Formats: sequence, C-alpha cells, structure tokens
Amino acid sequence: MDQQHVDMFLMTYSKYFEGYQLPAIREKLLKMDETKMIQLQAVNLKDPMMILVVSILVGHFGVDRFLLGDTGLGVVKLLTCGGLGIWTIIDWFLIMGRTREVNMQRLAMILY
Amino acid sequence: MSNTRFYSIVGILLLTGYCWLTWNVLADGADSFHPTVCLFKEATGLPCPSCGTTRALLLLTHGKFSESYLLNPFGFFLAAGLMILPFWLTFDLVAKRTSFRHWYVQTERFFSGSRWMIASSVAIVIANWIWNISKGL
Repeated sequence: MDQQHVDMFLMTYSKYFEGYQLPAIREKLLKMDETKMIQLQAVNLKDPMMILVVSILVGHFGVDRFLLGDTGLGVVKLLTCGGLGIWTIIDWFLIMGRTREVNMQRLAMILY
Repeated sequence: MSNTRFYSIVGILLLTGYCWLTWNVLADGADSFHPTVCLFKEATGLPCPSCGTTRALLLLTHGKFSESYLLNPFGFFLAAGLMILPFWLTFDLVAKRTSFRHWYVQTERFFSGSRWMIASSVAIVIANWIWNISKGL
C-alpha cells in the first residue's frame, strides 16, 4: 500500500488502536498487498468513544459487550443486573481498552 | 484473552454470585433488608429484565419452583450456572483441560452466528422485561 493511503488510514483510525500499536500497524500496512485493500475497508472497526457512550447509557444490559462480540459476557451482564451494578461501573473504565483490543484483533486477521 | 484470565473472570463472577446469594439467604426475612443494586431501577424506578432474579433464587432454595418461575424465569438459568460451574471449573483445573472454555466459545458462536437466534433471544428478554414491569418488581 502506498504511504499516502497508509497515513490517511492511520489519521482516520488512530484513536481506534493503542498508541504503541500504531508504528507496527503502519509498517504492516506499508508492506501489505494492494489486493487486500477491499478487505481492509470492510473490517468492522468500532469507535471506542461510541462504545463508551453505549456503555454509560445501556451498559447495564450488556449491550456494550454484545457490540464487541463478547456475547457470553453480555448475557451474564444482562442476567445479573449488570453484575449487581458493579460490573457496569467497572466497564465504563475498561470498555475503551477492550474496544481497541478487539479492533486490533480484527485488523490483525487481515495484516498477519 | 489467555486461559488464566478467562478462568479467573469466571471464578470471580461465581465467587461474587455465591457471596451475594449467601448474604441474601442469611438476611432472608429480615424487615430492614431490601437491597437494590440495580442501577437502572435506581435511576428510572422501573425494573430491568433481570430484576427479581435474587428473589427467584431465594424461592428456589426454599423449593418453591413455580413461584420462582412466576417471579423471574431467569433465576433458573443462574441457578443452573451456579450449580454446574463450580464442578466444571474444578474438573478443568484438576485435569488441566479447557473443556469449559471450548464449550463457551462454541455456544457463543452458535448464538451470535444466526440472526434468528439473536432475534428470538432479544424477543425473550424484552418479553420478560415487559412482564417484569407489569408485575411491578
């Protein structure tokens, strides 16, 4: 992929990943084959800020966990009244990190 | 997620569940004991889909199955989890296997893989929620 496209991608999605992962992502994207561009655009990346808003509003029902694909944890969160209300609050602080982790996993499926 | 982290999370959830249940069983019947931990209920005054599961579990410990079902059917799911999981986790720990995690991943895939499964699960939760609100839990 050419440098311009890579920089554009990183500028758009820099908040979607952990800061320390960005140099490695840049390196991998530069080496990536052009044919994988369509796959890259189709990756379902989640905005950590959007997930945080969901977590604050309806995290009590596990919706934040469902959106990230953690269906099992979502069901447990739903059935236990948001983990007795404690898990809901803990997730307000954890969910952005988890979103970045999930984003990295999804991107890694294409890059590696 | 590493296996250690996965099993730790499940273990902590189970332990918290048992502590919460023991506390409720010990204080059961006391007039001053009406704990509400549900953030949604505190904020809106309306019950959430799983409000009443603790009371449903308490009824199960007294053998009142039909009353427990009428209060909140989700109590049965939690009771099943609380009864089966300690043995399953101990088995995995002793035998150094990951059978529970394997089952968890397979079930997660089965449920999130089909649109019909998702739609029917959401419908059940919403139906139970409406029932909870009408019961005024």
